[in-house]
Amino acid sequence: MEAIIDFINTDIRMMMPMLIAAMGLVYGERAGILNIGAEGIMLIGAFAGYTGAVFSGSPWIGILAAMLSGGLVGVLFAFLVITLQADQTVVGAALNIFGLGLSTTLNRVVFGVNSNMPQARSFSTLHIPVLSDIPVLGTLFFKYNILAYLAVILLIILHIILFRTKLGLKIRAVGENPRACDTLGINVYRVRYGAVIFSTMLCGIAGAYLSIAQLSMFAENMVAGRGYIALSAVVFGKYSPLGTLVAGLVFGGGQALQAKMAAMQTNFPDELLQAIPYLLTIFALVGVVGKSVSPAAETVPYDKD
Amino acid sequence: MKKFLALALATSMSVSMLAGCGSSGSNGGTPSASDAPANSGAPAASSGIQIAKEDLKVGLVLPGSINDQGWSTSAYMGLQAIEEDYGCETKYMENVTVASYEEAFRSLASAGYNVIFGHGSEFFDAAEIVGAEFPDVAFVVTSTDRYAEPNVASLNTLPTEMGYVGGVGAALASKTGTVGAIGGSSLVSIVGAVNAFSAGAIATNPDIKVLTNMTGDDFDAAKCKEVAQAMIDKGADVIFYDADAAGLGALEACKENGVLAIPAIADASELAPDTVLMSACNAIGKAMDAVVGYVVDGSFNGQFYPMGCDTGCVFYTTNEKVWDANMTDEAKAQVESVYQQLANKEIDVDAAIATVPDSIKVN
Repeated sequence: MEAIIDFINTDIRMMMPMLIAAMGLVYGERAGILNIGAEGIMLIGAFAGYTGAVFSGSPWIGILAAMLSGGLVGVLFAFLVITLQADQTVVGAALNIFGLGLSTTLNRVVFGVNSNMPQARSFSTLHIPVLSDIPVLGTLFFKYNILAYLAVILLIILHIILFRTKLGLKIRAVGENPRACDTLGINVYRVRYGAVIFSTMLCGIAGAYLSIAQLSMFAENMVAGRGYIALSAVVFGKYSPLGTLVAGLVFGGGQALQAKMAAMQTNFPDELLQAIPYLLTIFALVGVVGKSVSPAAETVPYDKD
Repeated sequence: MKKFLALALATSMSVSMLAGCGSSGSNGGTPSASDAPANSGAPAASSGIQIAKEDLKVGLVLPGSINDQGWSTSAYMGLQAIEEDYGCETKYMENVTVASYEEAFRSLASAGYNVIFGHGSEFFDAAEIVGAEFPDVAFVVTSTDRYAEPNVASLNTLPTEMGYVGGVGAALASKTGTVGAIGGSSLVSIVGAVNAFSAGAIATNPDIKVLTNMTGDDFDAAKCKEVAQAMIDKGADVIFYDADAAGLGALEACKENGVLAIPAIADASELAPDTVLMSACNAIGKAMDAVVGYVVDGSFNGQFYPMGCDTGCVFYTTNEKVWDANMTDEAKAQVESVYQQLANKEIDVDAAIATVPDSIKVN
């Protein structure tokens, strides 16, 4: 029993950065923009979050910095793919390289090479009176940091907005048939800009979750593929925020399994353990979830004229 | 026009990546005598490569980032020390991927670099090929014992001796009787260090339970932290880690749970003054400096240069406060005695590793 609770705890901890990025990416993709640069933006967010937290002494400032830096990259990305109608895949791929290069270079400029990097003030695990002390349920649901709770609340709000409000309808319509939206007087560009910038802000926060909530440090390339897994979580979750929660739990579970099995000292080869999260991703994407239909106008630039 | 602008912007973003390849120019600093460690098995015949101090140009090709706080950083620091000691021009190339090893070596050799280090056993094949093309250039591949006469040498600051000392320290400090060892990517040196850790721990306390794992990479600190956490949940109260920047994640798990940490490669006491028990260190820089010395004095040869505890290239440091609180005087003496035995080659680490049970051994 304890082992299962332990496993779920680890699962949820590992899921969070992927989930935060994925629920943002859902919005971008629903509006018709595929951003495969999530990994790079998360790296920039991880660095901005760490730096903000180190210099201000408050992890909240770190989150703010990560959000702003993510949004800034989002403006650049949106300008390239929406206004200039550049190929989304190419620009996204460039963003990943850009994110790695920028976060690495800035890290060396600000903190130096081989210096003992300062430990950032990070979000610590909340102890909620009464709730955290309930046996089983307390350890299962009330042993995380504040960001994790906020993320889940945001997830529910995002789900409702996307499927139950006019704004959500607009976002989804723009991703399906931008021409029709345009004739109805919806400003396609504005909706797409908004959705993309919002999604990159969440990607930035997702990176900061790694550096100042899960850890309290920054290391070059520390996102380690979570941006790509977040992209598959969007597909696996059938382009809905709640769906990404399921996907996140599955992918986080893969990573948790690796960590837990590592400590069990079985004869199971380490290589296979390392592959679990990726194997799960592949299995998930080849149709375990059934058909996942992408928005019709995704990756198609919209030209008003 | 729009398309062109987009392309131009995308290109300029990618170019920013290239900034990672840096070069430190020649510096005319006063060349001080290098304190070359005594080498075991000095070469009899010379390769004919002798390069005067003033003509020396030293290149270094790294598999990781110069800022990985471990493997590549230690060699990068070594390169900087060489630049200072010999007053020579140096250049490093970092984050070089397997497919580019040959090209990296070739471009350095063509640019006139005459002593070129490849930091890791994985560089050997490329060094052998390019070494044949540039017979006047001394190639040195670290952490392997493979070499190719006359100009491709190998240099190994025995990671197994490093891991062994750590294992002894961990077994003596553990109160729960369970210790953990985490390695990053599955490289010969890291696998060797982790297995030697197990060997050292078991030799010290045959009843000890050792948990081991290779996480698969050297930058995913969050994963490393979870692995360490899982080991701690299983009762481990001393964790050894050899995973460069990712290892800092393991250190955080130790800090949060109040268990002891034994970092590998470099002293990390300052990062966690209440957590680090001892550091199992590997002074690759000192060893590199020594090999450059051989090139300068003409004794360099395409051979294997093993440098372990006997040369001082492998050693351990203690974090006094934590060390005193967790180790009895006998325990401290025992670690020191094992270290001396390793220096005198009285302990056969490879044989000890062979006796480690398969369920514990990593590969």
